[in-house]
Amino acid sequence: MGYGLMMASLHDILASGWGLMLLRGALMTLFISLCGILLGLIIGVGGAALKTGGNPLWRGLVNLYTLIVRSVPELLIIYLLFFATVQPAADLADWLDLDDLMSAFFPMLVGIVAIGLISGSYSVEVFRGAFKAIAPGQLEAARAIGMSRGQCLWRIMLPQLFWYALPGANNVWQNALKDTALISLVGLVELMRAAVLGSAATRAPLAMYLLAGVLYFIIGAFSQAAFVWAERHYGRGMRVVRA
Amino acid sequence: MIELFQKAIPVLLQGFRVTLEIGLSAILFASLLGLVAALMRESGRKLLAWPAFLYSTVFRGTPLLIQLFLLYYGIGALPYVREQPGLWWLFSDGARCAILAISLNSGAYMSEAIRGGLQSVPRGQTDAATAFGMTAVQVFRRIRFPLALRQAFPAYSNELVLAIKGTSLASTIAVMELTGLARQLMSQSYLIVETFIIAGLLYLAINMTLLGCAWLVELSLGMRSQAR
Repeated sequence: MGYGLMMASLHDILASGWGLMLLRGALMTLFISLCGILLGLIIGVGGAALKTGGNPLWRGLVNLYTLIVRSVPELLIIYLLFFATVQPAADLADWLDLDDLMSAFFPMLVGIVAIGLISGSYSVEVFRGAFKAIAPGQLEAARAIGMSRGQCLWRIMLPQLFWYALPGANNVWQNALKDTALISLVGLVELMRAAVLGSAATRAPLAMYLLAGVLYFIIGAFSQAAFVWAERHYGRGMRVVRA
Repeated sequence: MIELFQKAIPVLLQGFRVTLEIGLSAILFASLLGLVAALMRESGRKLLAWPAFLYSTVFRGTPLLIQLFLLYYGIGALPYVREQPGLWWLFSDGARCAILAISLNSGAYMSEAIRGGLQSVPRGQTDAATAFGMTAVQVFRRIRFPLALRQAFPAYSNELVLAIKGTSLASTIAVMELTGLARQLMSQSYLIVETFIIAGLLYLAINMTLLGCAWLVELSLGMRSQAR
């Protein structure tokens, strides 16, 4: 029954320019996920360093952060960030006379910070595992031949950290990508929001959401392939037992 | 402060009940779905393994929000669905639709966890059981399943938390659960952080209770006493 109808509405959607809207939305989704996960990586490396470091106060704070962000729904965190900052941001924009700029960038900023905080809480564990995977003997050896702490970090730790963290980072990235759909609920026009607007305009929700779902899937699949490639490529010099 | 106790807490507690109802039913259905899908994947028959693979890949590869809207606004609006009383019963109600979407989504993740457990059972164990004269059913019931369960359990209990967090999306299809009511309070009052803290504590309570139960199960399965 639905197949003919489906193809017809698919044709309508593409003919009336909503295909392009979805693609633009997908670009925004990619942009927000990338910025968000970058912020998350910074939080992750910092959090992992604090957690493996000696100070119990810092360790406790990092644990509290990961506990809260991981056990509370992502949507609730997004609402908190949005509602807590929407009024101050509007006042600031009013004062600076930059209302247009603010209305364009505010949802984006909320999205990036939200994705950063959420993905960061998972990145902490990823990087903590990676820190642990580097044999302490390597650092001792590097120190023994006279490298400074900075050199140790830059030449010995980071290159390996990056590789050890890749599989976990893939997981974090895939989740971040899907979590961006929630930012649509505070008004950012990304892929999900474009699909909602499109399904209202074309009255073809089934085809619209299917199309958006396919786009999410494609982005996810391509980035998955990129991660697999990166693991192989950057793992060339690593000694690993392959199953 | 008075406003908080008079207004926010009773409202949020009401949402807490809806969240629990949706979450626990979704976990029940998702576990069944996950188990069936995992068994299909590991059955060694392409005709069974392929649909299960497709199911798990599609539902893990797209956002839950898309799946929810696709079911509620997409499939729920089809004339065919509106004519079938059984389907209409399922798709017309936001809460049922949310349970369906979360079950399907979480079931896909659980199937991967359970499959990992099934794959981890060493071949020698099942071979020995077969050589011992057990039937295929006995091998599964006595050897493969108990071992797989223990392997899969930590990953499975993680999925419980994710399923509970998924219930927050029900508010987007007008089901007033905890997050939906929290959003309402945040947009209407100045109690933004307070609302977040109370709602967050309620979610924390659900998740900690679930993880506590999982811990008890692990204890009773003898998983905790083993040296790691």
